[in-house]
Amino acid sequence: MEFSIKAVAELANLRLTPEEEEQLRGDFEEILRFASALQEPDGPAHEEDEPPFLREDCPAASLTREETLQNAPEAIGGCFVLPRAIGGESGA
Amino acid sequence: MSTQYETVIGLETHIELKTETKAFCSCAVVFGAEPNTHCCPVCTGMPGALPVLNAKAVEFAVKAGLLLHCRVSLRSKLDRKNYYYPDLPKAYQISQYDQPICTGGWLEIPSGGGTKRIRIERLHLEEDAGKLIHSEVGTLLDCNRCGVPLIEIVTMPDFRSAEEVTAYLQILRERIRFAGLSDCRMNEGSLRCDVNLSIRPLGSHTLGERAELKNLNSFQFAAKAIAYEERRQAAVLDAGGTLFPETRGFDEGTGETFPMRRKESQSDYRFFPEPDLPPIVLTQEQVARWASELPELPDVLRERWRASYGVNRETAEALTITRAAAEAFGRAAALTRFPKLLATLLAADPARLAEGEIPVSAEHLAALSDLLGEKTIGSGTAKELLALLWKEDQDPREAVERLGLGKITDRAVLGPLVQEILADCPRAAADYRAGKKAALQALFGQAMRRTQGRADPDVTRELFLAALQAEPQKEE
Amino acid sequence: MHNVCGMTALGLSAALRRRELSAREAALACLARMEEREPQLHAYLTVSRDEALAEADAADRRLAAGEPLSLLDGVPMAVKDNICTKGVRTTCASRMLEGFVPPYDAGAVSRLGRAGAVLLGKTNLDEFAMGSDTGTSAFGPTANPIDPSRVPGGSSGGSAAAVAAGEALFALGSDTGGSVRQPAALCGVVGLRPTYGRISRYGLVGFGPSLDQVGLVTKDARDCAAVLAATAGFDPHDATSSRQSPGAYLDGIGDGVRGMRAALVRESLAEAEPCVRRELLRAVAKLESLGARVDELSLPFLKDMLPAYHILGSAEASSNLARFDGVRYGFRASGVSDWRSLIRESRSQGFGLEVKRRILLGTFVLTKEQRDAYEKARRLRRKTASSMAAALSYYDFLLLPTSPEVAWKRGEKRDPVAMYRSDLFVVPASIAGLPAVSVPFGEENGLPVGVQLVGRAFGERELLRAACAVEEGRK
Ligand SMILES: [Mg+2]
Ligand SMILES: [Zn+2]
Repeated sequence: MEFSIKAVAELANLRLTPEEEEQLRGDFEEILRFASALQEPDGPAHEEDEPPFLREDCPAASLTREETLQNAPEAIGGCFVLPRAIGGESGA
Repeated sequence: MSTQYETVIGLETHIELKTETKAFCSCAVVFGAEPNTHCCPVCTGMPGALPVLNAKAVEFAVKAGLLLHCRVSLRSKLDRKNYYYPDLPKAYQISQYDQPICTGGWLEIPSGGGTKRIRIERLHLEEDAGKLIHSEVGTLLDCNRCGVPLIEIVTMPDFRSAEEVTAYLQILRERIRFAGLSDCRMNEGSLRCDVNLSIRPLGSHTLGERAELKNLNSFQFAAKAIAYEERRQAAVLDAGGTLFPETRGFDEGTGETFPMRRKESQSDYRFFPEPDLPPIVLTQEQVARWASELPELPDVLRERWRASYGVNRETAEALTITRAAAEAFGRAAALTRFPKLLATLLAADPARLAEGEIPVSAEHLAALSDLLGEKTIGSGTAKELLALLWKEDQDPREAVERLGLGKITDRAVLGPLVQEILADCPRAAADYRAGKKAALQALFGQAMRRTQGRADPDVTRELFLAALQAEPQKEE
Repeated sequence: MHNVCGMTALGLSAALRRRELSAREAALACLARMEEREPQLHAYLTVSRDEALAEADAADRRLAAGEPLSLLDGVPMAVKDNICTKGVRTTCASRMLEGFVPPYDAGAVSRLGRAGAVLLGKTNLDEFAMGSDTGTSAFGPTANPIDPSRVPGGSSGGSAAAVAAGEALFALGSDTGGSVRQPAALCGVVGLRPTYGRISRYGLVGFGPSLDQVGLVTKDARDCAAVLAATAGFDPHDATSSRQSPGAYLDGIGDGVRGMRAALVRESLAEAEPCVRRELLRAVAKLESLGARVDELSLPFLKDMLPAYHILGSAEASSNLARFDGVRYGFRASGVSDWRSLIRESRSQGFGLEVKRRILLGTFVLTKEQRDAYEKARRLRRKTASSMAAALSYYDFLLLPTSPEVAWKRGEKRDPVAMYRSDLFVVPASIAGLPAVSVPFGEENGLPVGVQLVGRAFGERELLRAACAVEEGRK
């Protein structure tokens, strides 16, 4: 089974030392062995649906700005601050 | 000889739903508020916070789907789309992956003198990200917009020109707005569209490599970006080059598109079902009820008013600026004998119509246009009365009585007035007799001014003409 | 003089109502016990002494007025440090959240606050609840109060140790794959994982939302019923919490097991250490002598549940822990100039190895290439849940060991896979979302053994009644 731990680490935004990488390679192989040995029981297996809980569209108090920012590593002018974001894709 | 190309375009449109609160928390949705003042543990992705879906967001997404003739899924689910970006607090967007709430609709647009159907592939519910503000001190993050509910509408690659794209967006925006589901303001970002564009030799049936154009902030920019991209791709192919899938931005200054990133480096979003939220389960009855709550489509109304009342297109468009305006006119038009007059009267102030609820009852609007049609009041008075009713709704007939706004038709009143004006304006009278027929207009205008527009125009004109003929001026 | 630290929560509650002692005295007794034992145990990460005494005084005023809020009014408790407490540091035993002070209370904490329970502090755990011995805590491990050279189990090791040592009368923990039941067994206390959805998860910094549940650590089954009554119920902030109303868990709890049907899971015997097997069989004999019928039942895919659990739990963890990026809160790496390095460095330096391992494993199984393993695990889970539910449509409860072994020596070198194996018997209930309770039953060389009862969804009342019978039959 070929896979790139580097690519996975990139997706997870983690930097690994070569030793960590080696150790993880073993873990990954182990879990893939486990997975391929997984017995799949047959027969239908479906989840039943309860009508979900939906929230009424009524505004409630938000946090104060101080509370929202109280754990921020850095905040200026009521905003969280981070080094300049360049490139990549915006949300949504 | 250069090859003839055909442009193939598909659209992905994101629209912010006009709910009171965000998609997954009870923070109010407010545009332009002070940064980070409408935030809570849920929308800022604090540890341990959980999303709870807003019922209204589901209703609005379904209603939008119904406006586009979509199939509504009675069971759909939410998924996590995992990627890192500083404006995405949880580092995943709650969206819908393989079971969107609506699928398979269409929207008809005018095209080449006829009409054409643009097929809708899917419409799904998701959440908006925050706003990044770039400054000298670094990048600032405002989370007020985090978690605002969005619908994403994905079309099939059915467009062949920028005109078709613009037409689609205009009709889409009008319908969504009219149904009260969103403001669809492109400049405020409540409607955003990404254009997927490729070209192919005319007659070919395979799709070319497509570019995804992002950050198009107006219809005009979308059209410009499309035109530029068509030329750019054709030039690459004509020069023997090859195109590759990529994401491109649009520079509003130069009118050009520029590369943002190659598509193959796109991350694997690792979609999986959102474990914090149960599936969305709807009943047929619920969907039917929502369908019944939708307004008649504005284009349908305009056509009906044209056919039955003779209302012209411009006026009808002003009246369909909001659902409330259209419905107010529709109700009043059924009660008055002069619906066309009412249409013109209401459409004269489109800004006021767009404000929201119409504060005047249908009966009073109808009575007002009847007064106008019966010539009890003139059009100037009608406008004044409408403004008065807007401030405080009341019976316009009573208002006319009380304020003495009715037309003056009494010759015993108008006769002496005409004499008085002729005496005051000998020059105009002389001009008229000298053959300058336009001078009558000046005298007539005086009569209107002196009666605040209440002098009956027909009677007044008749009296002037009689006086000017019956009493030739003595030569001095 | 009362020995507060040796009392049950309900015992203390009765004494408080009789005004034989005050809530302040009870809190002070626990704080004194901490002073004595914490240097050795390290069950707590944060002790909120002043706030606790203020809460105790408020409880005393209510008790003096004869208006206690609930059975737990004035009873001192501890809360696992991955459950948010407004204004009290919540670290998840991670460098990532070392200074994090939540601006809100978890659902279960709010309910206990309304019941008048007194929060003494926050207990140690494996970092982000990922581990089975409270050894991956970034702030150092916890020791087992029965034998401090041994582990307390995990990940709710701090909660189990605090209750076992009398440093709190009860505690909240969290149970994703056995994290309340296993340490309860190793420390000789009662550990309940309620039905999925029974207690709000709001404010629990979980790692696998479809598996996480807030769990309870108590001194006996009656206390467990009382604390469950105070914490269970629908929370509009948790869409997965159940709208079914909670039961009267204390009613009839001492009525015994006569007429109940139980099933011993056959496969569990072969996988357990001899002493654990011995105590389990002794518990079976006891239940039979009390009038229950105990059959043997086979759950053939018991062993497959462990890898399935790890695939699903890690997949969800990789996504749930993605929010720790150093942007809005938590650890931020210094000396970085762009946002991408900021995120990568903050995560790489803020998380410990076991957390990184699970995040990477979870990311791995969610990629397009490895998707099969994840989908297979999901299907296995659904099937497991339906077969366990089918078994429980006939049986009142299933019997298994809690841990395959008693508490092991601290520092004993174990590879991660061997560590995962210790969760073999606790994972099935987690996977199936069923309630399960571990009750101390017997011992080996002075080290407690726990037996586990798995009940029907929302059948906590019957489950705790059976647990109470096992508990009373253990002497
Ligand atoms: Mg989208
Ligand atoms: Zn919010």
